[in-house]
Amino acid sequence: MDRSIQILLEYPSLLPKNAELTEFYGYLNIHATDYEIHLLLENGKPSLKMNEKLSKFQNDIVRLTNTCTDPLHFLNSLTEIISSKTACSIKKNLSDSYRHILTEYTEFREFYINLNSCMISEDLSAITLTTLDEYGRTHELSIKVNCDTGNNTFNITRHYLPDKDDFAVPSASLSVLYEAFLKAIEELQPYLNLMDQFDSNCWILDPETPKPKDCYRRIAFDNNISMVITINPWKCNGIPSLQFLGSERLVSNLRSKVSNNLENWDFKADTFGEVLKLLEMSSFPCKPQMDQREEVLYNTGECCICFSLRLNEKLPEVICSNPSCEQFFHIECLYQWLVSIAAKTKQTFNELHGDCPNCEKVNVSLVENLQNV
Amino acid sequence: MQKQQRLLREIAKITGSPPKGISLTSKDETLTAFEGSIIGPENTPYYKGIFNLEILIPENYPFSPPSMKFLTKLYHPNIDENGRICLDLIKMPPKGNWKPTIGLEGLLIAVKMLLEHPNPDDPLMMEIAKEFKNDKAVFERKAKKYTEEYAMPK
Repeated sequence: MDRSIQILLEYPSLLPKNAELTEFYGYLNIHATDYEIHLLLENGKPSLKMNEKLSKFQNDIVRLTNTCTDPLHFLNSLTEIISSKTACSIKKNLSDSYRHILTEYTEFREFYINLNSCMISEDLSAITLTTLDEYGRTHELSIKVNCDTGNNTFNITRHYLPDKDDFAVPSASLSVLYEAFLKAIEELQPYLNLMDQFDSNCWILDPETPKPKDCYRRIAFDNNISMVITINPWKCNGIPSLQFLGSERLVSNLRSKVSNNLENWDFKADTFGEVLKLLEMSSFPCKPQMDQREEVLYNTGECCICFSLRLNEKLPEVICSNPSCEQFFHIECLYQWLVSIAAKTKQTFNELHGDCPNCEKVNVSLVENLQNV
Repeated sequence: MQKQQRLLREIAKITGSPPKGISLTSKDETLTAFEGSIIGPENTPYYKGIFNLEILIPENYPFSPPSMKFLTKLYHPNIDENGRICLDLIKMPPKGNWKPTIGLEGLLIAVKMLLEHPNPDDPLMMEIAKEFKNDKAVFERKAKKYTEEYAMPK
């Protein structure tokens, strides 16, 4: 009985469950972690009810239960065991890490004087920097600072360059990271120049605000026909992938031109010029001046269901094949419409067939790869 | 999802270049209720009247049609005393002819045309339709009386 009272005195966070003091329940706080303890005394012999947190120490507890007959001694040993086993995971003093980060950061700033801007957040957890390349383009880099993980202190979290595996490896040195970033920018110069050439000489539908990452452009030829060109950023002299969007009657013509001229592609010449040669064009059409007052309900090229160009960042992709209709639809919009008039829509396997919501003359069909709609 | 964007676009269009004799105003911020007015077209007994309509936009607009009804009373074979309109465009297929490409402006124009050309072969009000077919003068007199009584500012 004395021992039980001593438990109450030494472990005030364990409460007796009954008047005979044979059952205790409560918590042990070791290294800022709470462990749930349910202690049973049978004829003075202690035993523990196991739970998830304690299961890590199961072997020790079993051994302890077998050897120890004194409840107070049992609890003392348990505390000792848990405390010694968890000791290694305690956070160490971070001032060394902070000092390291600050030295790295200041040295870095002083060394690279051509940095456009460079900032570190107040809690030293993030660095944002921008740099200019030789053509005056700005490139941004965001770095996360890790204090706990030992070697890999700096980690690139965001950049706008095309993804490449060997770039953006975590490193203990800021300058190593930055050098890799600069090297990638330098390698990408021909690609970036080419993309700029497209951006300034074409009527671009998508992306709206191109980032270096975006290695494709959707170029409009006129209201009804456009081309998606995708460039390999690391090999931009090669033949880009071309995909035409528009009614079949206009597209097939262009497609045959491309396949005829493909063998004349010159890998050493300027890619922009080669693309024009491929299409037998002297220049790309430029964007027509839009009438400020919107006379039409929806502009050509826009989806005639939601009356907009972009829906969840996607452009209309389905086109009615009726030459006097040629309306565009977002896959999502057309799908929702065909489903909502299910009585008139035919489904075969994963394809939906229904009337074009605009002209109602022809069938539009939709391959249902739309699990997320 | 498409609803908000599309309605904003429709309102911008209709306020930018309003069609003749038709107006549309939003009743609340959420764009779920609109009030439309149609000015009675010339050469009809509705001439000079102003007819107000209530337009309610369903949640899945434009995939289902808005519901429309007249708030102003009028004497017409295809419009009942509660203002309900018999128009195939505001019903879902296969019974009706609603298409997501139509829009509010198109519907208001269609209703205006219904005022100009009643359709007695698909009537909502049997008696009025019979009258319209057999005794047009009486129909016109009654319709005009309704217009003067309910649709003109006093």
